[in-house]
Formats: sequence, structure tokens, C-alpha cells
Amino acid sequence: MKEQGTARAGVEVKVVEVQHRFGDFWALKGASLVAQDGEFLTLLGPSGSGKTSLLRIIGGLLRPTGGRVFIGERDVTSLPARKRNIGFVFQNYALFPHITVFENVAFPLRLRKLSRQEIVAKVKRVLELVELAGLETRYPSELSGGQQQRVALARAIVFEPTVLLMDEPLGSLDKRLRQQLQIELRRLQRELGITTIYVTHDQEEAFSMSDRIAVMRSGEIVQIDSPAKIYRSPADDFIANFVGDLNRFDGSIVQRNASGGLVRTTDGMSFRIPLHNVSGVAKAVICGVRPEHLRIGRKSQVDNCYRGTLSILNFQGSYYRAEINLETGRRLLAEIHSRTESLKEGDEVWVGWDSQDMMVFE
Amino acid sequence: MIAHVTAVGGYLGKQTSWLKTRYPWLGNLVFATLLLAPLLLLLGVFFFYPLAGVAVRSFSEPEAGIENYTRLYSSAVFRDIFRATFAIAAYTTLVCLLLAYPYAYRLSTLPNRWASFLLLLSLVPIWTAILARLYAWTVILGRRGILNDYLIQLGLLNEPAELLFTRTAVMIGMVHIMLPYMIVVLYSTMSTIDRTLLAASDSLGATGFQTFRRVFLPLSMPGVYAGCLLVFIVSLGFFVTPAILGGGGDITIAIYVQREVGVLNWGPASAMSMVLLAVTIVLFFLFNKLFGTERLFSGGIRK
Repeated sequence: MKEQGTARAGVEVKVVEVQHRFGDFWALKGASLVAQDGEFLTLLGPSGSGKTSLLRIIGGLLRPTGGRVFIGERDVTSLPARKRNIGFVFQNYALFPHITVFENVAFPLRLRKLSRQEIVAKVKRVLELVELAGLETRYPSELSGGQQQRVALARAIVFEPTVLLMDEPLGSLDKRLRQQLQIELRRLQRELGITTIYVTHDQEEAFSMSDRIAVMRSGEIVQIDSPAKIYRSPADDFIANFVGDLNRFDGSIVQRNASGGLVRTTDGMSFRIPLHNVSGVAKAVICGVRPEHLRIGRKSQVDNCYRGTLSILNFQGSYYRAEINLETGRRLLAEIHSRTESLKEGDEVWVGWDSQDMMVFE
Repeated sequence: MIAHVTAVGGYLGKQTSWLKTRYPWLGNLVFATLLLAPLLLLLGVFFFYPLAGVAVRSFSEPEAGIENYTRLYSSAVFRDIFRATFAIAAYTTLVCLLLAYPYAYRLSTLPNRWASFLLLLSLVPIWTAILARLYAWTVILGRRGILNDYLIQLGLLNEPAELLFTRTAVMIGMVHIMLPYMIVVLYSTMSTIDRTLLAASDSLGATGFQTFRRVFLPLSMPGVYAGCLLVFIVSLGFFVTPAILGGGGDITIAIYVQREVGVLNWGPASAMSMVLLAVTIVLFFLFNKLFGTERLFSGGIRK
């Protein structure tokens, strides 16, 4: 695509201590982030975490109560959306229902007073890019959800913005189409080199597309990192739980030495933990271990091991999801990717995990 | 009640099962007819039957033939009546639209709470007796009325202006009566316009005016057409307002019909009524033909 001349350099987007208040409710309590030139940054969080408000503030559709927004070197905090040259893809696509696909995509070009030939050429090129050539004369209501999504994307990039903002653009599509479009979006974003900020509450979507993820909770950004880092070393138990399934234990450190520590949980289990990020003894901690790190077998093989009953074994295609009832009454969730032993529901099993796989939060 | 009707529908459906196998839609038709029956009965007895009487009389009185219609077509008097009626209705519609559009637009941008309150305010005239309102206008617009008094006191006029019993007075009264309907129709269309579309237009580089002209205005046009149709058609048949505020200066179709009926001239009155009805039906038909298609305005997203 670069040789066709649609390539453009992205710019850095910087958000400094942005706050927003709706009445008495602080939707944003001071969020700061930097999206680098050409980066795909995702704002991930549950609904009501302020991610859409933050996106709208960056796009100029919402005026922040406090803080500043920079695009490149320029402070755009008080600049209206129309002057920011930002492409925005809305959750419901926001296609104009009274005009055709061609006119929808040509809309930003007409506002920029381009010549007829230029408009026709640019619309044609961008529609080819999103694989919608031939649908120019259709109305939005005559398109499928996926096609509408592509028109919205085409309209948002046709005027060569330096930043692309997307607010859950795949939210209303079915799973298969969503996965396909995730890949396409990512490919397109790389080709265009456009700085992209993407909002979603779906952690799989965030993982599969992003260079970095900013996890948001109640109006604050709680962690910005690469997807792998977010998943493997989440900053707290909320993030750990939000970005993946987690077996969670509340307890306190009862003993520590050079090689690790010992935790006793409130329901009487005890296990070893790595000590790299915990200080002090008798400190309340939250520990967690991901289902894929649990090992199930007929006998003990790992550091922390318990007896239990395999109560549920669900076939998931490439793996099994299992639920194990421990003798203490606790239930553990496990994923079994290789089935070396023929386990079945009701079996007495050993379940355990390497202490290195344990996440510990203070 | 509904259950009862359904039961009856089901019973009838069973009785006609041989028909249903041949015509599967018949059962639904029977059911639909039952639901519509009370209204159809009412309309039949009190509307269609008398209307048929009017239609018959227009061809039969004072003597059989189409003479009532040929006279309407050829006479200059009737041409003036039609012209006055349509001009008043058209201007009333135009003025209503110009006054109501900005008001409804503003309402549609307000939070719901405020919009409902202001909408309610604009509806107050509807709940005031029409005669009370018209006589109030005669007090305001009369030769020795409030408006003339003020204008003379302010030194803008030397002697009272003729305000009452003019076409202007008629139109003031009609706009006053029809304005709430126009506002309601416009607002109900405008309030369904997705605000995200306006935000999208903004993000694509449009100024407020460009967004209005390219997005809001076209999307509000169904309301404009519907509101204009409503106001225009109702205005065509206005009787009381031109009678009281016009003082006989302009003879409209409705006034003519009333006068002819007053002297028991049923034939010409009926013919005039039928023409008015025909015009109304044609307008409705045209409206449906031109703007009845839902496709353009269905909101863009396929469910």
C-alpha cells in the first residue's frame, strides 16, 4: 500500500493528567499516557472504567474537566474535533443513513474541498483497501454488520489522519467475523503506520491486536505494558483477574527465607511462593495462579500439591477445562493441554503448580 | 379481552380450516378484521355512510349530472375561492415550519427533562378552547384593540391600522392553532436522529453549520414533509378561524360550503367538499409515493 501513496507517518499522542466529571461522578480521575508514533495502544477495562470518555477526549468530542492532550508537539486540549485531523470509528459505526457508501466515505473529502477526480480516486483506493469495491452505490442499511464496520473504517482513514481512534468497533459482530477483522485491522494499521488508540473490554481482542495495553479501572489507568507483560505480571489482582481466569487465594506470609516464602491462606492451605516482589512477614497477600499453570496427575510432581476430585472435565477443542474440588472444599480451575493420562470426571487426582508460576499481590 | 378475541379468532380459524389450507393468510386476516371491527363499524356508520350521501348529492342536486363540478371548474368565483384557500394554507404551513423548525431543533439538543417541559409548554394552546383564542385575537387586533393602542401610543401610527378582518389576521390565528402540531411532528423526527452521527460529522472535519446542512437537515426532512402535510391539509379545511378573523374578506372552501348549506344548496356544497376531499387524498398519495419509503431513513443499521 505504501507504493500507492496512502502511507503516512503517525504521530505521538500524549495525555497528561486528564480528568473528567459528569455531575458528581468522576469518569476520569487523572489519566496519563503516551501512544508512540505508529503504535497500536489499547484501552482495556470494564464498562464504566472511563476508557470511552478518555478516547472521546483525545478525539475532541468531549472536553476534559482538567488535564491536557497533545498530538505531536501540539496542545490540542481546546481544539474542536474537526480541526484535529483524527479518524474516529464509533461503536455503532455512525454511518450516515441518508447517503450511499461512496458519499459516506467521500464526506470528509468534500469538507476538505478536494477536486472531483481526487475524491473519486481516494474513495476508490480506500474501498479497495477495506475490500468493499463495488458497493459504492449501496446505502448503509443494505450492508451487513461487517461491511458497515469496513465503511466506517474507510471513512475514518480516507482523509489520511495522523491518529486513528476506535471505540469497540467490533463489539456488535459475531465471534468469527470479529477474529477475522482483528487480523485485518492490525494488518491495515501496520501498513498505514497510523498511531491507533483502540477501546475494548475484551481482553482477547486487546491481546491479539495491541503493541501495548493500558488497563483502566474506575477512571484511572492502572497499568500500561505489552500484552505479555500484562498477562504474566499484572500489577494487581484486579488486572490479573480481568485479563484472564485466575485461581485466587487470600492469605498471609508466615515464613520467609532466601529461596522463597510460605503463605497460609484463610481457609488453611499453605504453599510456597517466589519472593521477588514481596517484603515483610505476616503481611496480608493475595496470591493467584492461572488455570493453564495447574498440573493434574495421579501423583505429586510439583512444588505445591494437593489432593482433590476431578469434578468437571469440559472438552474445549484444543484443550480441556477442568474443575477440581480440594479436600478443603476449595474449587480450582485448570486447563489441561496435553492428556497424557486418561482422566475422567470423579477421579481422585493430585493438583499442583510450580511456585514460580504463582502471582503475588500485596 | 385480547385472549377473548384470540379465542374467537381461533374458533373462526378452525371453522374455515379448509380455506386456510388453500389460503394460509386467511386466518390472520380474520383475526385482524376482528381487531379492527369496532373502529371500522364506527367509521362506517358515522363517516363513510354520510360521506357517500355527500358524494351522491354532489351529482344529484339540484338535478342529476355533473353540472356542479363543471360550474366549479369554469367559474371565476370558485377559482378565487380555491386560490384563497390554498394560499392561506400554504402560507400558514410555511410560517409554521419557519417558526417550529428552530424551536424543535433546539428542543432536540436539550436533555430529555428540559425538552419534555418545553414541548409541554408549546402544547398549551391546544388545550385552550379554539373560540377563546380567536376572540382573544379580535381583542388584540381590532381597530381599537390592544396592538393598535400600543402602536399609536408609541407614535408609530397616527390612526388605527386595519389588522382584523384581513388575510394576515386569518393567518396569525391559523399559525397559532397549527404551530404546536408542527412542533410535535418535527420534534418527534428530530429526537430519533442519532447524536453519534453529529459527533461523527464533527470528527470528520465538519463545522456546526456543515453538520446541520449535510447530516441533521436531510435526516429531519421526513418530519418536515409530514409536518407540512399535516398542517397544510388541516389548514385547507379551516372554517372557524377565517370566519371570525377574516370577517368575510376571504372566502375559503369551508366558508363557501357552510354558506351554501345554510341556504340548503346541497349540490354545490357537496361538490366543493368532494373536490377538497379529492385534493387531500391526492396529497396523501403523493406524500407516500415520494417520502413513504422507509429505506433511506431507517437509521442505517440493519437489525
